[in-house]
Amino acid sequence: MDMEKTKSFEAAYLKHQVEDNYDRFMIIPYILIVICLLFLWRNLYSRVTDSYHTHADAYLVLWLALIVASIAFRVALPKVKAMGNVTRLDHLIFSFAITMCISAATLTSLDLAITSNYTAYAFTLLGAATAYRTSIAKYLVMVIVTFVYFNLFYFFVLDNNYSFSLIIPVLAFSTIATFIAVSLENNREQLVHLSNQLEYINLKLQEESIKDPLTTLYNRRFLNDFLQREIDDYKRTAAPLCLAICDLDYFKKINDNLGHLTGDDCLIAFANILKANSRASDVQIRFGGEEFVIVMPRTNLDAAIQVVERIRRATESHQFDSIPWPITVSFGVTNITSQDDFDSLLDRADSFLYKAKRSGRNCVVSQI
Amino acid sequence: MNAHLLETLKHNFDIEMDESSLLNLLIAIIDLSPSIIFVKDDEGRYLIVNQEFEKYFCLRQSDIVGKTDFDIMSKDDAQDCVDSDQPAKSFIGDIHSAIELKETEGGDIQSYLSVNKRVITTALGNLLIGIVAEVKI
Repeated sequence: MDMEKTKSFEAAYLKHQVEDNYDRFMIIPYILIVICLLFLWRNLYSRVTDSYHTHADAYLVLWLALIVASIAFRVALPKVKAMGNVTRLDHLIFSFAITMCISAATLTSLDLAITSNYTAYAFTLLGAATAYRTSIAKYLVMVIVTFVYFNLFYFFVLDNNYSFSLIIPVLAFSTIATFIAVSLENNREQLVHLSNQLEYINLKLQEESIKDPLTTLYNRRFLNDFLQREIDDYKRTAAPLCLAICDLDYFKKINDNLGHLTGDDCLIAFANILKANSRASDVQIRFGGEEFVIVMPRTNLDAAIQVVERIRRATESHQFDSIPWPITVSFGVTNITSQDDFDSLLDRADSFLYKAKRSGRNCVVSQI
Repeated sequence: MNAHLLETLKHNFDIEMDESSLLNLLIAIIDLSPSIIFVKDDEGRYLIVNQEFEKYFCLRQSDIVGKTDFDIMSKDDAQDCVDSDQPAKSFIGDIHSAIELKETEGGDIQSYLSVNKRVITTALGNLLIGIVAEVKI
């Protein structure tokens, strides 16, 4: 059960991460394109120094490649999202993030030929740590791949002499970026956990505020809202609506003679009878004490009487634990009329219940 | 009383029994019952009551037959009885059962009355049959 919960949380969390990333990565390509265009313009019109000129073509290719990659990514992103596969979308964003990091490593390698400029490396890794949300494993893969690529490209492809002091800033950026990423993601995960818990508690509180804790049926607070809505609905659609009030016969004697715990058990058992013998569309409410209300939307009086008769008979024949005499229930049933409001409907059903009590109990009284 | 039952007895058991004999048989049976048994007509008049009924109300049969609840008990009690006949009268043929808890002076419940009523349609009109049994807990 816990495994299932963890799995479902992980799936929901991945979806949450990917949705978050999606919003950011829909904008990031535009920013990249603008930056690339600015550097491209500088590359084409301001080739001022010889050293810069040494790798000018390489820069040119890099800026153009980044522009193409950004456009392709920006076009592909909504299309992949439309497929509805979260994992695939996650992979696409991860691929783009790695591409950005490798581009930054390339750029830094080229920059280092002119000056000790680590801006691209630092900016990209720190940017990824703050803007890109993923698992710790993926961050580590991204940082390590970028670091290895930087070493290979700078020392082997560009054929520079190995210098450990050159590596130190790169190592420092990689470590700091990893720590920032891990710490941020942990905080975000905790936040999501807490917000999930809060949502769950809110739902439970909301449910508990409208449910009777003993019988788990709805309570009077729920009836106030629900019945008013049903009456409004009747006034709009004229669909029939019936209401029944019932009261367990001699319930006080159970409490007085057998104790309140037996009384509580009796109420729970009766609530179960109500649920088992009502239809799915009927709503059962504990009105107070041993009085219950059944609201039967879209039901005419004949059908309502059949429902409550079924409940009455089931109660009469049920063997209640620890109660040595048969338990019976009396019902007052009525249907709504155009003159009715909340109070008049309840009052009429209550007056029929009173008649049922006067008529020897264990019976259903309605206007028929 | 019941022409069909008479015919059946005559045919199957070769019993020569007239209607008054059958009525006597029926009364003898109900008098043996420890339960209170009564039959009322459509107007609420008692047609038949058994000895247990006589004992319960401390009245003789001749004081009860032909009378209504209002003639033999207080107005409130009589009205309660009339009201409690209603569920059975509403569903002719169905047995309406109810219970009535009996308390001791200390408020304990040591028995209850199981009240069963049914209305049948006869040549005499609708007749309400009631059987009230005390059940010890």
